[in-house]
Order: sequence, then structure tokens, then C-alpha cells
Amino acid sequence: MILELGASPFIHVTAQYSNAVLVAVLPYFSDVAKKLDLPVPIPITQADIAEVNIWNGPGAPGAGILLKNNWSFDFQQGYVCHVENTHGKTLPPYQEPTYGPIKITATDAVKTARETLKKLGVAPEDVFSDFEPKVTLPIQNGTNVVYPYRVEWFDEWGSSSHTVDIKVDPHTGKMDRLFLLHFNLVRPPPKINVAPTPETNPHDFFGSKMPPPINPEYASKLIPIMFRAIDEYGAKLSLPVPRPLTTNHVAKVEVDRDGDSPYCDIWLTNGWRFIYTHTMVNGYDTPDRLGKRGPMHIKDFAGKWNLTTNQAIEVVKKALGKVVYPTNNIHMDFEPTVILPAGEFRKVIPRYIFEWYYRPSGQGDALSRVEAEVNADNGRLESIFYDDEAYHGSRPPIDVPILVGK
Amino acid sequence: MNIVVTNTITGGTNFPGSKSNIPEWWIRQNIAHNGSSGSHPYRFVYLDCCDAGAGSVSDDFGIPKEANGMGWYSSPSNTRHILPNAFVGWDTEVNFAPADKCWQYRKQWISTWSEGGTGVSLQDALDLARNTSGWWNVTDISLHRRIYGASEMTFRQ
Repeated sequence: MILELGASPFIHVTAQYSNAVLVAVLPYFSDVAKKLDLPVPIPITQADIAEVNIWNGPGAPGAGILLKNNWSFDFQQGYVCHVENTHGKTLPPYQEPTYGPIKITATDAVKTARETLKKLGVAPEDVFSDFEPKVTLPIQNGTNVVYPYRVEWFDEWGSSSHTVDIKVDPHTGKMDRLFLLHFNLVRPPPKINVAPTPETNPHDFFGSKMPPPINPEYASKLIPIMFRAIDEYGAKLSLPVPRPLTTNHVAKVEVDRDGDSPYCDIWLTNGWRFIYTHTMVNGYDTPDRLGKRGPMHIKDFAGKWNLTTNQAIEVVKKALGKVVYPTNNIHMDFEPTVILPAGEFRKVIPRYIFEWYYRPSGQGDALSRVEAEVNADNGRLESIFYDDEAYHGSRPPIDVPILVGK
Repeated sequence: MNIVVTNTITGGTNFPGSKSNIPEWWIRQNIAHNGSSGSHPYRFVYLDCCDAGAGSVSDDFGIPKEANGMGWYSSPSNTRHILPNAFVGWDTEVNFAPADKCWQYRKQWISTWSEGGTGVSLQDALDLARNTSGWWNVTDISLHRRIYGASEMTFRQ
């Protein structure tokens, strides 16, 4: 079982670490440039680079480079997520480029986008490019084309977040910009030969605000309390998870805090996740939750809309009823916000997301929150979260401080 | 809302039933509006609080909701010749706990966007932080984060 105590720190980027990351990621950039036949030197060497940015956040190493000929590349989460001909727009005078006369059609632009993905070896089902894209046509101002074709594919929730964003030069028909983002694309990071050190710069505005780490002794006393609470919660709802829960069933526990109260995620080895805050289990995600942080393919969520909205709401109410919260702390006697998969995804993914945010005065923060995802194909409650201010005053019976040094 | 104790973020808190708020008209009249020239077009506004993206606050800052992408700014539709600008806000109540992961989210998108000279756009930076920070969940961040104006704007633009 992995135990994470609070958020991982940002890192201090030294010259040695920066060079080591660059050495590790340059072959990835060269590989992409070669596959896309970009007009850049291959292999890309340090002599070709005008600017380097090393990712200083926690987790997998990342880097971005801007070449002297204005092409740029970014590497995150084990893959090249961004390639662009910046046309100098990241350098003074920071202007958007203009393009020549429109010589290709929207169909050609989509073809270029799909061919770009194919050249990179990106499977359509990994970025949902087997669905229809959104195509933004070039914009003209007088005789100038000031905006190229833009071909986008989105995630299952629609226009707020794309999986693929490709711009195509309307004059040449070539890819001008590429951005890829999905958990399906994440790969193991390259080995970096220099270990990063935590950022301790007191002038780092965000880093300096980070709280001290969670006290390991507090965490060790909290874990059995949380496991017992999950046992009781799971038994009431007849959840298919092991009981009694032991560390052998748990992949990871993330102990965070909200003020002087715990705020924890418990990830089981079978893919279930539980949320524990203050002194209660707030809810869970099944491994089949649609909105999880991890790889997913649409075919795995396909089904039929067998439940109406009201039937799905009853699934949520029935579950909360089994947990037997005080009835005056449950507030679902009003219309929830209902969220459905967007566009074409709605035809194949039968899922409801409901949100009941109870604001007795009609404004201000919610007194109570219920969030749920219901599988409308089989009636399963794939995710539930319930919280109410009434529970925020309670603390687990632990006699050591939650933070180190407090 | 985040709680700050001795300059360190300690948690998030809510004020149920609170009637404290900053109304749009106040922002329009006192921050973003000039009596003779109208709303002053800010280049970038991120109101990291509940409901700021639900109404027309972006318009108060001169960031037009109808601007759909960078191309609009160079098009004839941009009659005021506004430079590319963007507004980010949440269209619902946001739970800012756990505070350290929320803080990670903020630092990650700001770092990715501002330190990159490679053309990483505002939306790309926000999406990367959504996926890697561990804060809240992917669905809610995607559904409730609103970007008006030029979501493809790069920091140096």
C-alpha cells in the first residue's frame, strides 16, 4: 500500500537537472519531428534550441523547447503533447501569423489532422478521433487569412476540453499546430539521471504557501479508523468490496487535510476509490466511473438508456437512504443539475451526473452537496459524494497533531 | 474560500447561507468601466471563486463572451479592435479542499502557461493541471470551468 501524505512538492530546477531532462526528452522531439516530416533539424540538438522550459511540478518530468526556427515542442506525462510552428508569436512582437490564400477545403483539413495522428501512431479510440470533429473555418480580414483551419476532437463532456487540437495551414494544407491530451496517451516517463530536489525558495509565491506535511503518526492512527468506516459504509450499501478492509486490499491512501480535519482518498486494488473527510465516508467511485483520472475507451461505457431521469434519481436517493444519514441533513427535495455526455457521445454513453447543491438562502455557499453518477444502462450508482456542513465540526479521536511540527 | 494562517494555506471553508458577494454591477462601475469609453478591455482575468463564470462578469472586464477563439480578434467582428484577452471563472460553487492540491492546481497551470515560450495555450495549461494536480475531479473541472475570449492565448501574447 502506498501512503501519500499531502501534495508532492514542486522541484528546484538546477542546471544539472535541467540538462538531464533535456537529454532525456530530445529523442522524443526528434522522433515526432521525423514522423511528421517537420522542417526542423533531425536529430534536434541543443544547438538548435532558442529556449528551454523545464517542468518544475511534481510527478513525471516534463519540458518544452522552442527552436531557433520557431517550431516548438512540449513533453508531459511521457509523451509529446504539443507541436507548433509559432511563427515567432512567442517572441517580440508576439503577433498571430497571417496565412496565404485559402487553397484547401475543410475536408482536406480534417484529412490532414487524421493523417497527422496516424503518423504519430495515435489510435483514434484513444483520442476519440473516430467521432466527427469540430472544424473552425479560416477567418479572413480583407485579403489576409488571419486564422487557419482548426480541427478539434473533444472528450465525452464536450466543448470545454479537447483531446486533439490541430491547426492546418489553409494555404499549404500542412499541420501548423498540434495539442494532444488524454490519459490514454500517458506513457512511463524517461529515466532522468539527476534526482530532483524540492523547491525551497521562500520567494516562490505558491510554493511558500504550501502547508507543512501531514504527520505520519497521525496518518497511521487514522488509517484503521477509515478502514472500519469504509467497512460499515460498504456493508450498508452492499458494495462488492472486501470486508474487513486491510492494507492488502488497498493500493494507495492519500491523506490530506482541510484545516485540522482529514481529507482522504482511499484507492483499493480492485479500482474502487473512497472519499473520507472529517469523521465519515463521503462516497465512492467504482472503477467504471466515466469521469475518472485514468485511461478509458468509449466502447467500455457503451450501453442503452434504460433509465429515465427520475428513475436514475431514485437510484441515488435509495442509496443515501441505506446509509441512514440524519434526514434533516439530506437535501434532495429540489431539481438537481443534470449533466449528460455531450453530442454524439450521448447516443452511446448512458450516464447521468446529478448535482444537488443546497443553498437555503438561494445564494452563498452550499450547506449540503450531493453529487452522483448513475449508469442508465444497468442502474448502477457509479459514483456518489455527499457532504453537509453539519459534520464539519467533528474530528477523529486521534491524540497527535495532523501536521508535522504543529 | 481558502483559509490562510501565518501565510500558509491551511484549508478551504464555506459560508453556508452567506449573503456576502460582489455583484456584477459593482465590478462594472468600480473596476472595469470608464464612464466615457465603456468597459476597459482587460487582457486576462481569472476570478478563482464560486460562480464568477456563471453570469456576464467577463463582459464587465471587456472580455466578450461572443469571442470564440483567437481568430475573432483579427476578424471584422472585432469592431473595438480589442487585443486577445481571456476570462476564466467557475460557473458553480467550488470546493477548494484539500487546499494543498487546489494550490497545486493553481501553481501548475500558472507555471505551465507563464513559463513556456513554446506556445502552450491557456486552455492547454489549465487542462494539463486538471489532469495532473489531483485536485477535485476531471469531470467537474471540465464541466464547470468557463473560459471566455481567446482560450488559445499564450502568455506572451
